[in-house]
Amino acid sequence: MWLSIRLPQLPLESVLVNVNNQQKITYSDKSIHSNKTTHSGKIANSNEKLSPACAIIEDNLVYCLNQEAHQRGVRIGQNVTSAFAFCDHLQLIERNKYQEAQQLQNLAILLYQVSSSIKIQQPQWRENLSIQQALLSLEIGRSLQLYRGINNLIDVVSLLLIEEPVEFQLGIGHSEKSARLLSHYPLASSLQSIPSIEAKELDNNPQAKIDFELVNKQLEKIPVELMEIDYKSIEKIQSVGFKTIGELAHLPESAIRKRFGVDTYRYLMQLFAKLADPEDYFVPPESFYQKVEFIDVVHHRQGLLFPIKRLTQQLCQFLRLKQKSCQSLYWELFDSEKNTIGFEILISESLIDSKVYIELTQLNLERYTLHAPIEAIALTANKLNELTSESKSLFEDSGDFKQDNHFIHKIRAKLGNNSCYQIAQRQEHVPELASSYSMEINDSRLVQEASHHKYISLSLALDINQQTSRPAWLFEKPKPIQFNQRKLLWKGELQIISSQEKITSYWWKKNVARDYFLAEHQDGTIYWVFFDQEKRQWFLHGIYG
Amino acid sequence: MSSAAITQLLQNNSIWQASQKSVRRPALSTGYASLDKQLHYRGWPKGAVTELLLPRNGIGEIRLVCPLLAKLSSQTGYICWINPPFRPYAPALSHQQIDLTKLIIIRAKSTQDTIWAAQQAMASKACSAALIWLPKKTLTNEMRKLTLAAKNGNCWGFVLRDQILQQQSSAAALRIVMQNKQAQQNLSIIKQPGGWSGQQVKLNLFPERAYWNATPVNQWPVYNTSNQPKDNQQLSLKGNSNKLITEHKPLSFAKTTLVEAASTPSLH
Repeated sequence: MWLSIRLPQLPLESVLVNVNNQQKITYSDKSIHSNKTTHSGKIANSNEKLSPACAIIEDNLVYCLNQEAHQRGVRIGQNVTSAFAFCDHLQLIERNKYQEAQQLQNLAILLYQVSSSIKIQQPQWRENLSIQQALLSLEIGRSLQLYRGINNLIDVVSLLLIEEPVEFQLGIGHSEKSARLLSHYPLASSLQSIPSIEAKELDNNPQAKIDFELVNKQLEKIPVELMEIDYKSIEKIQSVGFKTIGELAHLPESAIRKRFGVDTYRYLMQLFAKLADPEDYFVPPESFYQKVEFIDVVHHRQGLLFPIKRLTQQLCQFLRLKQKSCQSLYWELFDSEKNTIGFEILISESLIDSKVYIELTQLNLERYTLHAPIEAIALTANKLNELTSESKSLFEDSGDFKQDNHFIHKIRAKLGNNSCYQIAQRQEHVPELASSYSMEINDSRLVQEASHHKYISLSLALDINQQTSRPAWLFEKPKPIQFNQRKLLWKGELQIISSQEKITSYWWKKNVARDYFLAEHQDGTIYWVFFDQEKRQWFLHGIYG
Repeated sequence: MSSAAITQLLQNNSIWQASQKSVRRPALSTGYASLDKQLHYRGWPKGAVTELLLPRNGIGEIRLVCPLLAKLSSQTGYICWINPPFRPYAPALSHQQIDLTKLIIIRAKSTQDTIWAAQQAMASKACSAALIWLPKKTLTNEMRKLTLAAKNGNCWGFVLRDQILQQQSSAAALRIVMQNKQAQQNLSIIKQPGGWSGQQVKLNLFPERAYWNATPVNQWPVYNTSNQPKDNQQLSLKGNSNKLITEHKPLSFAKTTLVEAASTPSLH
């Protein structure tokens, strides 16, 4: 049992979707309305007048148009000059196949939650095949039990699609091809062929099987020119005098094969579900990459916000489908001078949250100046991890503060990646090596689990450093200071107030031999000074803060 | 004024009532009994900014806050040091029992960025304490912003600034001027929540000082700072240690030592 979704306006919608969200609002308003009242699946174009006449052209011929353009007399297949003759303010946009395919894939990802067997059909003309409009076909027979009946399932699908800025028509059939054909007609007609079962009976017999006979009756009424075979074969069939598929199908199978060729025969067999279709299901991609090209260039950052939101939402859908979390997003902005701005955003939490993604993106974007108008924007996410489900404790016992390092990523997004770092102690004898700096921020959740290791390392650390205290501040480079045989001089006088501590190490590489002292400055500050045996020079190394 | 309005006012923490001096306010002990005694809250106030006014960096201010940081680092929540004047030294801090995995050091280029980062950190509710070093500038509005952020995040905020600014008003709840005299740190509280200010506290922040033996100048170790000591042959070679190794080892080994020597931390 197949559900087919016909997207007649996809070429137009996939281009316009990135222009403004005004369009989207008008779409969804009206589709909710019509869905509630008629449940027809076929969306009326009542509000289309709000948008100006607009058409997609391919090879100088009108390929797809909106209602306004249609009312003016513009038709598919007209050339550009005659289209302008009908409607002088017609907005013409070159067809963008890449965006269409991308939009179709997004919808497939969205619908993947309903059924895992999805077929994508892009408009194509081949020798034995002619499909005019983009289609998505879902195998729903196995999803019926989950959704408890066909009506619930269709509600779910419609609600999902209403959120998207697309127009759609639904059709249900016993085979993929029959569903595709029936999607030309209102959904109510294809629903007739499904026996309505009471909710109680549903438990016993959840797979409300479609009635093959009724579907076949529906199919028989369909005119032959809607068949998805090449137009020469259709002409041939019509020349014999057949008007509907039913008349054709009543011929003996061998006669059909002989007169109209194997392809037509095979198509009819598959249409009536007598022959299996090749299984060529949609497989969600492993990583996320999407690019949006603007019809008009974007001049300011604010204008980028809308496409950023859309792309992020699409990413979230993708991540939810794959049950993955991403560590980083990579944004690319392409401007009209062929320059590319690229920046990466690191994400700490394993949650899928489009708000967090958008916030971090905006902060990052503020660091860049746009030198030229932006023509396209792309989002890549390929460092995907399995989504780990965390078990939270039933009673909040984590104290006053959250375990959350989102603010660190926010600061990094604005001030640069190396603005935050951590320090760690190392078992080294040479003072400046005993403290290491790492850009990786420890996740406090992980640290807690490893806390017993911490105690071990702490006790080890105490062995070396307990007997002597160390300065809280250490200079990056020791500062050479003067010694005039009586006093140490550095911005005043220093007086040694401790006994010496000899630190000698790395004799096998580069000898370090120093005598450390504590010295008190005349202003009261305590410094850590040493005499370098190698360089024969006094140095200032740290401050007891 | 209606009674509802009064109860609302009484619930406001920032209103001090003379009659309720004994009521415990959210604070955590400073770790120094004599200082706790002088503070009406008996410790560093929570959800507020404490301003430490210093003659210069490195007179014991880290020691002063270490007991609090050590206590906080054993719980959840990060500790942020924003724009410290020097590099914090890990062994010293872990010696003070601070968990270094909770410590995050943030560098910001401008004052504006520093304030922004501090606000983000303190208001995040994921940060238990923040130490912020600010330049020698009047930053009235910025201090107010920080106070609000500390209140929102209910964390301990510390602002470290130059003592020149003690004459200027500040939104910080607690203000302490710190000075060191005769191996002691003098703290004078110029503003504090919950009562009168003006207290003076003398602290010995470096108690280990008692075990340091101050040696008179004439007993200092005598080093010959001239680069060529005459008598000892080994010492004359010590000035160039690589040379020393290469003279004794085969040539192939000498090459690797030189490369290794280049990768060892350079001091100058």
